[in-house]
Amino acid sequence: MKKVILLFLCLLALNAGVHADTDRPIHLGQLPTKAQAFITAYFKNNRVALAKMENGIFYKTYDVIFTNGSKLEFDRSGDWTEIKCRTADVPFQAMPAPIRSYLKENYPEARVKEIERDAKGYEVKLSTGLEITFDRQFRVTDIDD
Amino acid sequence: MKLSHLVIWKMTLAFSVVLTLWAGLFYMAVMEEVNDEVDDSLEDYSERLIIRALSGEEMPASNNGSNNQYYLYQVSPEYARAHAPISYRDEMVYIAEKDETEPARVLITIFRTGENHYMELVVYIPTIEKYDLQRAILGWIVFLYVLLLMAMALITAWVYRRNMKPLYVLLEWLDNYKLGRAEPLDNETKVTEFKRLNDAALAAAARNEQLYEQQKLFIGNASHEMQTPLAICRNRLEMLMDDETLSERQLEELLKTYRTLEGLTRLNKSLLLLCKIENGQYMDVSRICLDELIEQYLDDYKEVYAYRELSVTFRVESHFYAEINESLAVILVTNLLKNAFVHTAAQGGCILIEVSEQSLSVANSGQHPLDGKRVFERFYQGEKKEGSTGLGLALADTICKTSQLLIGYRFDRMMHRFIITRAEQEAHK
Repeated sequence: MKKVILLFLCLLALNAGVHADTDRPIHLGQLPTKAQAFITAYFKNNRVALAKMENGIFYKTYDVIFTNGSKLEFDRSGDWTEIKCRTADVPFQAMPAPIRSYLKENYPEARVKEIERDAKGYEVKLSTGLEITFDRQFRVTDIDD
Repeated sequence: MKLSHLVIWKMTLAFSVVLTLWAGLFYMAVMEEVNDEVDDSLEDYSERLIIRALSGEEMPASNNGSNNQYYLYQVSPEYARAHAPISYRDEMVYIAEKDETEPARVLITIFRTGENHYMELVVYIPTIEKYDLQRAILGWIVFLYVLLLMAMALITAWVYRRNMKPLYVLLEWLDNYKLGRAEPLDNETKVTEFKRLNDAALAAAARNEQLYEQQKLFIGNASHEMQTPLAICRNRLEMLMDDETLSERQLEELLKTYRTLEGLTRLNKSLLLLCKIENGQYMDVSRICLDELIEQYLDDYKEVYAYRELSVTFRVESHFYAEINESLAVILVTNLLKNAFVHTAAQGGCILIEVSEQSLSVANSGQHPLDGKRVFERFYQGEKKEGSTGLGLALADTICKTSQLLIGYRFDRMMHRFIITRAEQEAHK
């Protein structure tokens, strides 16, 4: 019986450790190097309003919000997963080259407001409200307005 | 304790421990997930508001009809430095919309604006729904826990019953097993252990059977072979006693030896008879009225044992019939009668014979009860009696067994009672 109780306590302790998956504030210096380099390259002139980290058992994400309302999201290794710009536009050079050339060719006037990346591919939202979905090989799979 | 109860009890105990652990952990994990979801939606709400504020867009109303609320205000840089930029709290919050105070989860975020001001954003989500959800989950977990435990106990019982069946068939067979009357064991099973048990039981039964047969044969042969020498001995003694030259003393000794020899002959005859009955040599049966048979022999016994001065009562309510071999019936009746006459205390002892349609009882007065279990064994005698072989009741028992009768012994009201009933009646009771 003692063993069972002990086991229970161990599991409880383990559970308590897991509980830390709420947001925690961080400095820019605590971001992965790749993410820091990305910010220096494309968001040099922006000032950070809030930077935070979300830590789960299976995932870890970083959020950076700039004072102009732009928001960046990075994954565990420091690659961006989301760029959202309210007042400004997503820096053109920050996007992957095939998307850049596709946009230049088809929507030369377009300004990009949001770009998201996940396991399936990319999703780009233009200022016109158009949403373009790319798969991992940068083929357009869906255009939605 | 029955094996099935033991197995079911132990399994249920083990399952309940495992299930309790599982249910506890699962409940904690789900609670954690519910809390996480609440926090996630708070974070999401907070982030949207911050981006909106920073982008200079119009802010939604402080409470937008939903139960969520927020406050956004400027704070001093000192305040911002002194407090953590992100903090969570559980508070009682006044909800303006409802005019009520409710428990709520609170997220406080301090952020910087482009003008280098610090703003504090406080977001509330009421947790009433969360508690409702948690209570519902707890209820379901308890319900499912009980259900699962019961199902497991039932399944264990069912699986046990199904798989242990051959064991109980074998036990039943062993219970019903009687030496010299082996029934075939019908216990089909694929399980190796049960097959081995079956084979072992059958082999043991066969070995017993063989030994029993050998023993019977030996006793039968021995008593048969002894008959002739015994007869010769008696003849020689008789011839010797005819000799005129013998003295009175010598004659007396010879007479004693002759009597002992006669006892031995009787014993031998009874043994031989027992063997013959057990070998089924008295198979021809007829319907015989036992009380009429008793009546026939009773007067002879009264005469022979008149010197013992016993009072004999013979009461017949109705006739008692039995399907029995005639000579065996005579042996049965005379054995019981003789037993009663010989073993009753002389002068003042009484014998009571009662016959009804259902039973026949021969009772005689006595002081102490006999051992009811051993009274029908061969050579069991309470106290040694002159002219008694110790085989009379064993013989009676064997005759009853071969004739679908039951003989029982009871001691009540200072009487030894031997009661014969029909076997099939006993089985119906």
